[in-house]
Amino acid sequence: MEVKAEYLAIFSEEAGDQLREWEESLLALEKAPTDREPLNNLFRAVHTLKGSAGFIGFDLLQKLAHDLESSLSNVRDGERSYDGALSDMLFQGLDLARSLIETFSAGTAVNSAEAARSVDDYLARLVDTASGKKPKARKDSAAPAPAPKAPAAAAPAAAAPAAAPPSRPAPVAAPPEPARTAEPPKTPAAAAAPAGPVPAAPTAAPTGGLPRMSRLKVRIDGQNREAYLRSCIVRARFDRMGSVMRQEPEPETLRDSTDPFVYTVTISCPLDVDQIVSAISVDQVTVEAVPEPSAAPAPAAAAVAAGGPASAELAEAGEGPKPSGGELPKGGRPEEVVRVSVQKLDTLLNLVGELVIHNSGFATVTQQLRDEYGKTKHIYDLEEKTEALAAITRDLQDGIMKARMLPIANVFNRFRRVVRDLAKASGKSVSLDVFGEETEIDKKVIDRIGEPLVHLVRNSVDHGLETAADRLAAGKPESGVIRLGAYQDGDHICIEVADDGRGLDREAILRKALEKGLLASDEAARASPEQVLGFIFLPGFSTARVVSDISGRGVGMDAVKRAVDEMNGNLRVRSTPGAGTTVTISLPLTMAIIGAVLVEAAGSTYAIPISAVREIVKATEDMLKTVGTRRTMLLRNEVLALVNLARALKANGDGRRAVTGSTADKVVAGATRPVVVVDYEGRKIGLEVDGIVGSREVVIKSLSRHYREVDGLIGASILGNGKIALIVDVETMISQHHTSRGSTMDSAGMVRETAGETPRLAPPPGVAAPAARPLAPAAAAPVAPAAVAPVPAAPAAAAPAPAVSAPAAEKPAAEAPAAPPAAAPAQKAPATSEPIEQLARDVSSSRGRLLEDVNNQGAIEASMSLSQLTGQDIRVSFPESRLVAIKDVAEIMGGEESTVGGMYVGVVGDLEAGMLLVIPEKNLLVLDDLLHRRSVGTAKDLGTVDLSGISEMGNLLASCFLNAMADSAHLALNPEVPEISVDMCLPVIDSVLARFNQPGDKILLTEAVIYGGGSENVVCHQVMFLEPDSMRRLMDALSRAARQGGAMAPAAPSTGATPGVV
Amino acid sequence: MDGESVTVKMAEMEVVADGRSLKTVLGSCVGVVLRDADRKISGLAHIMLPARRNDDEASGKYADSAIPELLQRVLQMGSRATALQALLIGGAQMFPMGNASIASIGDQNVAAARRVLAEQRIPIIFEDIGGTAGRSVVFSNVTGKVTVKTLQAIATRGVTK
Repeated sequence: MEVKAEYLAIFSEEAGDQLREWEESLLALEKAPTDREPLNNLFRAVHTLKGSAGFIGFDLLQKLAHDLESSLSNVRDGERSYDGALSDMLFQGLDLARSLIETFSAGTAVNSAEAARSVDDYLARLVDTASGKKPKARKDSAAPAPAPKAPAAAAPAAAAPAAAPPSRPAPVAAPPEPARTAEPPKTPAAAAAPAGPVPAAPTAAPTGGLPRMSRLKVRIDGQNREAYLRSCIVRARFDRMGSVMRQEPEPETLRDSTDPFVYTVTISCPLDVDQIVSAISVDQVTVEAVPEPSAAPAPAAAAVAAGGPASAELAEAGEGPKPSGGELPKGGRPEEVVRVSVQKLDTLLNLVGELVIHNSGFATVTQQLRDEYGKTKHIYDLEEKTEALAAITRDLQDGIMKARMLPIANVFNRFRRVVRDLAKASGKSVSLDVFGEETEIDKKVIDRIGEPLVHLVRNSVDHGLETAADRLAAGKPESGVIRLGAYQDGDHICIEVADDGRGLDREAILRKALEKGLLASDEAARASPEQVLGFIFLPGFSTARVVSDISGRGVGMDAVKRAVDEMNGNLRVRSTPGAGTTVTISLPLTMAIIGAVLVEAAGSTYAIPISAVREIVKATEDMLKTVGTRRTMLLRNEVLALVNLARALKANGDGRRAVTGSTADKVVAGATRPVVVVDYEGRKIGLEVDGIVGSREVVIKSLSRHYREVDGLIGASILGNGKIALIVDVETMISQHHTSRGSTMDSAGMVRETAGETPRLAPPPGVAAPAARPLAPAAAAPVAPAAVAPVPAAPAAAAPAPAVSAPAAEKPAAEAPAAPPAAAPAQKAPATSEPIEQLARDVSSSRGRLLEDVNNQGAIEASMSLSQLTGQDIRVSFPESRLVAIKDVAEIMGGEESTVGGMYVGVVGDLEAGMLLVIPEKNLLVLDDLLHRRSVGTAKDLGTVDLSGISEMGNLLASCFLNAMADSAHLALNPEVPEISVDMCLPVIDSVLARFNQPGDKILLTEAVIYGGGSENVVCHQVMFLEPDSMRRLMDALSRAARQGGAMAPAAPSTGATPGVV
Repeated sequence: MDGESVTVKMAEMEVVADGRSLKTVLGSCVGVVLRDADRKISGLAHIMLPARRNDDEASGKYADSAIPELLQRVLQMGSRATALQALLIGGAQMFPMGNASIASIGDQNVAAARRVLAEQRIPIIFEDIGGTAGRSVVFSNVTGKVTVKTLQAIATRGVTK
């Protein structure tokens, strides 16, 4: 097939217009089904599309448009009425056409068998919908006849399909199997097609960053649910690589069959098949490439089919035309445009980032030279050149940034449809108002902003907008309006989602905030609107049902917040009762480089974004005051709350490096102490640090997945000297810090702290105290929280060099009161230093970080697999290891006598280990519903709970964690068959505690909490047990693997930090 | 139960000589009650495992160290060894299907407790052991009555309702 390059560009552009027209007409028709004008417009759009598709030889699209046109002409001629079913079909047809065109433009093989099948499928359904009257129209439709009233332009185009085929070697795409007899061939060429399918050709060579389609055959040993569970793990891994287009048959359908568990996955991702196969690596699962059947009967067309990969290569290599006959392959763009993979741009951007860093290094050196030798000519020259280089670097950086920018229309476009579907689902009348579509924004943002926006828009439609009746009663127009827009504001891009609905209920939010202890009652009246609305973004707040019922802001605002945080953006909410709510997402123009103040705290370097910094103060002793438990600073007659940076991050879960016992607590007489004054919700807060390094431009590198959970960090940056600086997200850090410390801030910016600190994870829910939630600190009492407990101030004096004594201070809080942290572990070893205590210390020391990383990976894997399995959001928290008194374990799990489902999964292989799941009674029902994909609340009776389903969940969980361990430590580990018992809590756990008994009255638990069926609902406690020997072996194996395998997580601890053990 | 009860947690023991009852919850653990009916002195040990590891100072966990210790404590309260009788409860198989390391703990506990009681020449006057259900046990020091509840009963009640 020969397609002239210049036509391609025209086609793509024109097709886009037609698709828009198509969509708008459909939307209009839906409102007024009998209206002639949109119908005519629709007709015209489809017809024109058909014409241009025919013109360039895009047979599939032509075929699709052709048949659609026939159905439409039936409507127009009054043979069929325009109804909902047809409307839905036409929307689907639109989607199909769009995806065909996208594939086409992306340069993938166009008239592929895959695509042909989907078109055929669709058309078959269309025939069903249009029922009866269809065939005749189909026969005739090759001639212009069915479009008698079509505009003039239609005539020649409509003639095209009839005339074109003979002249083109690749006609209407040929399905590889000639089975679809329902479709009578329309042209001679199509009739010939099934006769000569070309034998399978191997899939193409690897491509670079551009996603491409790959087909893989997945074979899973075993059957039914067990195999299905593995397929969920496989699916989760696929999802990480790209987007799965199709699974055939759907694994779900294999679950209940006795057939071998084999299915085919079609995935669009940048990896080549080999890479995909090696990345899957799940036990008992074989993945192999499926040879791509070629679509075309003739050799010339076969070359075109290969054009997909070839063009991808072209884009990758940026070279001239490829072998396919000197023509620009399909999907190539006109000469002026070169498609470049985002990955490549990212690489360039990273390089420029490095350049920026080194450039500022040059400036420093030049400065030093000048200070040292005065301003000699050479130094002057050097200075000049350095500056020139800096200027060019900046331009280069800008240029590359711009290359990554795309109009936000790319995201907004789909919202017309989203709003339409949402409105339909909710039965409300909604119109969408879009502005600023041309605003350009980073590609990365384009990729990531869609989901949060959908969330916001959904919230607006579902909860923000009132029903038509309510609106009329309130004197508003019946139809609600959602405004979606974007604009640039300085160095930020703002994206707005607004509705003219009922607005947020300040009182309801305040009530909830009071209830959660986020606010003291006397502060409620004074709370600023921003502050109040800000509460809905706190995790565990917005998700509470109460809020969504009353104020109309539902689930998942914290997810939006998280996504925006990840993009270093800010969220603002404005709301006027009765008049609507506006959420503004403000994002930095560039996502890759920020200016930052580098500081030292507890031996690590942190970068504080300069946008948040107000000033840097050298605080003298008399400026610093401790009032009660609050640390404050007097700055020009203003009292600022002080937050210790290292400690705040530690409290927020970044226990890896933040260490107490730093100089934070003691201010040496006469010395000054650097304080970085930052903005926090319009107030000033002082961040106590140990030293200021200077200000730099830093390149943001995203943190490895499991670090992202550490609130208060947005990324890491590698400094010129090769060290790593963690980039602090000031706002989140401070807000999380205060939340986790159970304190609130009053409007003067003072810190008010309540007693007791919550651990990083949700505390165990007490039997009588279901209030034990992440935000309610009071109920956390029963076990000494490990992660955040403050170590007494004493060790600081004993250890003047905080960084060196770090590991000793990191011992778990459970035994902190007993042994002075600064003492050398090897020496001080009477009764308290029993092996298990020593082990617990090691686990929480730098050596244990590898273990923690592995556990976190397991948790992430488990979250994904469970979510996949249930189709619901299920989260597995990061496991924490801690020592717990044996007598208290049952209380932690919900109470000695409370009814629970207990499951034990033994481990066979290289480690002596086991996993225990404890599921509170009511959550057995919840889990049963989740696992059967029923809505929660369906199962009512414990007697009917499908324990086998639950035990398979246990298997899945165990597999996730064990796989993570086995992979990282190169050990062989497998779960035994889970055993489940529904009984009182203590009986369920006692034999397991006995099994893993160690000397002493404590036991080392590695515990995670699983949330599901509502994000605060703890469905399950999961505890890993490891024999001490096994724990040591595992840690050794992990260190070994880390040494061999090179880099682990960022900011790997310095070697000096390992305590003298084993 | 009338009056207060003292809960005996895992691996712990309690002795009462007043109106209070002793309460504990058992799975594969065994509860050993030593009772002096004449003097109304009762002690209960919640035992996890049969035999003590010699490096473990937490003696309450093991039958061979907990029972002698409980005996000592009951005697210290004024009881006489000859007056003592024992009750043995628990030792269930909570995960009976095959994890040998776990499944047999209950049986081992029961066997060990019987052996140690025999060594101490204390007669066992009541046993409710084995099975696959956990037990919630209340022992009245005043009446000597033992009440054992299992969840099956509770669950059945819930189901039939």
